[in-house]
Amino acid sequence: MKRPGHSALTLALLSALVGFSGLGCVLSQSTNGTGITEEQVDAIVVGGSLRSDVAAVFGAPDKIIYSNLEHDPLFERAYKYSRRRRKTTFFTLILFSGARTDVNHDEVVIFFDDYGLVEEIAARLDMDRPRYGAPWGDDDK
Amino acid sequence: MTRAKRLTLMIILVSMLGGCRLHLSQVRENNIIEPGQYQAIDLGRDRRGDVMAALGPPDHLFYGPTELVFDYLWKRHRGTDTRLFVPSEVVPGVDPLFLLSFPRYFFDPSEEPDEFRPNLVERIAEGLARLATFAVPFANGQDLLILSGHQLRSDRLRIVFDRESLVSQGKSLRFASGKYTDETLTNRVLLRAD
Repeated sequence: MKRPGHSALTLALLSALVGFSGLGCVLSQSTNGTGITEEQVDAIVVGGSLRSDVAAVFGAPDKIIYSNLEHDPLFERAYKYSRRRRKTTFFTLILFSGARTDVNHDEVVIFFDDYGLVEEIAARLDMDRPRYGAPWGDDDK
Repeated sequence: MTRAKRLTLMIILVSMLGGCRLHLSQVRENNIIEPGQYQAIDLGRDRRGDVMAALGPPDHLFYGPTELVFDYLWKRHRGTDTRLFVPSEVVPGVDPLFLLSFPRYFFDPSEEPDEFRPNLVERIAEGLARLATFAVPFANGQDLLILSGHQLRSDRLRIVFDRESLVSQGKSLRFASGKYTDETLTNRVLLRAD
């Protein structure tokens, strides 16, 4: 006599079987760090903005680069802000699987002069570049 | 379901855990800096601002005793390997090789001093807890590649500035045509004078 509950067990085992051996696709994305926009970068004036202005626009820096030992080693020579985005595509097809991971960063580096005024600013806003795709092929160019 | 069917299904499932599949992987981080971009840098003439205008902000920067160093990095990996049948990528941080190394938790020939080494009971408890919860150490993509026997290739460009913020040295180390090549930036101002 067939006992109740066995069909559920069969279904669960078969689902696991299909899940492990069948085809599937996973897309995942993670983002971390300080958000950076072009408007924020444009708000910084070389020779006009102070260190405090930079902190007001971007917030606390992700990294502080101190001056060298020749000068004051506690002098905050530069601030660095960065944000990282990773997109991963994963698929499995019975005996094959593949994964592609794309990582890009938004980064801003701001140098200060001896008076705490912005001396130089450089930005790279690349965080929209990562994309999902197949693990083969070379589309760097 | 009969006992025989259930046993067959269990055998299939268990045998699949030991099965392997072919895995293709590709990792890309940051944009490639082409030789033409850094070869345009003039040693002794270009300044920090010129370099950042040409190449963007560096990935790493630090001050040495008298110099400032910019490092630009871009990473590429492409390869194939065999992995356990269970698609462990679905559970981030779980690496099949790590699961294969599970017995290490019971028989770990570590070189830790005796006073810090967990005893057998603690080790068994930890191993069972890890197995039950999949609480393996978190690993990033690069660590997973290393665990799988693949090293994530990282090309690098280093620019050194002197105390006047002028470019004093530069060197690129990049993978091209199947091998690593290094290239030292030359002082084109001096070359032109010659």
